[in-house]
Amino acid sequence: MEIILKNVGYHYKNKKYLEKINLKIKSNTITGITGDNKTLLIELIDALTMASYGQIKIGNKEINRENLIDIRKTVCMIHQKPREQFFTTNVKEEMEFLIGRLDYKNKNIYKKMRNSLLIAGLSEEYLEKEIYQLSAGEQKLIQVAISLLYNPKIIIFDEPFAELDYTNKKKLLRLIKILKERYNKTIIIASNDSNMLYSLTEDIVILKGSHIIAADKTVKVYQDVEFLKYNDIAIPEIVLFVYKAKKKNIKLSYHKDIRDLIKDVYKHV
Amino acid sequence: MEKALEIKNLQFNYPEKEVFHNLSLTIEKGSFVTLIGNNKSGKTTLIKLICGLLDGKKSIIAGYAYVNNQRIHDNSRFFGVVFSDVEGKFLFNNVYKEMAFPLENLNIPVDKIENKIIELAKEFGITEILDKKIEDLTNSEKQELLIAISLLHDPKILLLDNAFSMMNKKTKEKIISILKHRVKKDQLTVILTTMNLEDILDSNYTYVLNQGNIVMEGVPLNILKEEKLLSQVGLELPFMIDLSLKLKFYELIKEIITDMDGMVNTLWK
Repeated sequence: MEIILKNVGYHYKNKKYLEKINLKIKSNTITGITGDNKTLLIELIDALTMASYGQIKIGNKEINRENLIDIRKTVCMIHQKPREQFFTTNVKEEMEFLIGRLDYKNKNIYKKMRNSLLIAGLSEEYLEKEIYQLSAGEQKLIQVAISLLYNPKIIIFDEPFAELDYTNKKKLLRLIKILKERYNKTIIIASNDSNMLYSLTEDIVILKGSHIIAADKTVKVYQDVEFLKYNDIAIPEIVLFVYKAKKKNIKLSYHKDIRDLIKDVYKHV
Repeated sequence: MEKALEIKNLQFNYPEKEVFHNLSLTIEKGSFVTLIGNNKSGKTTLIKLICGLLDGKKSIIAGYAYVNNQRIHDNSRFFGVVFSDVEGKFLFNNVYKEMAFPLENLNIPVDKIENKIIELAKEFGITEILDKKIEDLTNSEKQELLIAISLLHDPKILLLDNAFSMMNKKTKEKIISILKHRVKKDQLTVILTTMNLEDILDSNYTYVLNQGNIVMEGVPLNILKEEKLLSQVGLELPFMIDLSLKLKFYELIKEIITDMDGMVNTLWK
């Protein structure tokens, strides 16, 4: 589902955090958001915070105070810290709590619970588990499973990999790709990890101060090293390496995968 | 060689889970040591045991005394501890007051406190945030401040539990060089836990933890050569290490190179 922000701004106590944001996030893509105030921007899209001015449209619905419940069912946010998002201590209770809140009516609700766990790569045994005994990685997957219960069209991740080790990171990366490709979700990832954003996302939005300074294809934005340097934005290492080689007149091309880069280097040495 | 910390046959269980079965390690005075491991490897538990927040039952010797959880007061002068979370770690809403508090507790005269804080703030380059409110700081600044505070009482051992998790790259580099300087000058012992293999390059010695056991120990560069074992315990190779190992495999370079300019210059002279 498409997201459109028209002339959106947010200020608080005379301080302007976001100003004149115009942005279109395409349906069924993985979009990265990086830079200052990125969490605020995704909170505006999730309607957790209301914009001071401007219009935000989720699909063809405009966010306002009357249709919050509809927006909640369409957009879901996976918070950075799982513990801040859970209300209860048990996976099943947490799922039931959400179903109650959203007034969700479905006869096969337990089948649905099991299915969402399976999509997230967890067995149905997890229904009976206590949330706080699970590892950070499992908690992250449980967060996703719970959100899948009501089948949101848009899933927003805030720094999803911050507390995950490599094994869990790989699991979550796979899940995000499946959500996009098999279940046609629109995915937004707010993060400052330029290496991850470069390899995972298709589009990227870069914020600086209260403005958007770039919103385009990830490859295009991240390969403009001079622009990133000028604006003090972290450069993906794989791009920086090629950039440094190019400065020495070596004709390497930009790659996303390190194996392709190695082949290229091999040809040029 | 003088020992700063010795752990002998440590055993520790949580009510439903065994964490350490039989762990032994020795840390030299005036060294920078990293403990690396994935989620659930026991890093945080070990830090809590070392500083006496959990009871190690006479298996931990720091300096010349056993650490146990009965004498928190003595431990707190000997250790500086910083955990990864920044929420709930501050008592005041003003940076200066927050920094003065631990020194007031040690009965240090007011004028000495002021000198000490200003001196430390200069070392860290944070003089301009001294009169700021804590709530106006970014997470990166909060972590920086917590590390600065932990050094105020000149601890013998500084324990950092993933304390760079939210820090931006520049700040992190600055803090690490300050710590390295103190290790050299004041014989400070630093123990840093992390999930990021890049962090171990700054240390003198590294322990790899997995499920409560030390699976490998040694000088960082030697640890990084064990690519297979590292991926088995769920650790991701940083870009430059990954690139080095792959190029070395094709015999394009001879040794691991962690500096990007150095790498480009070695490949294309």
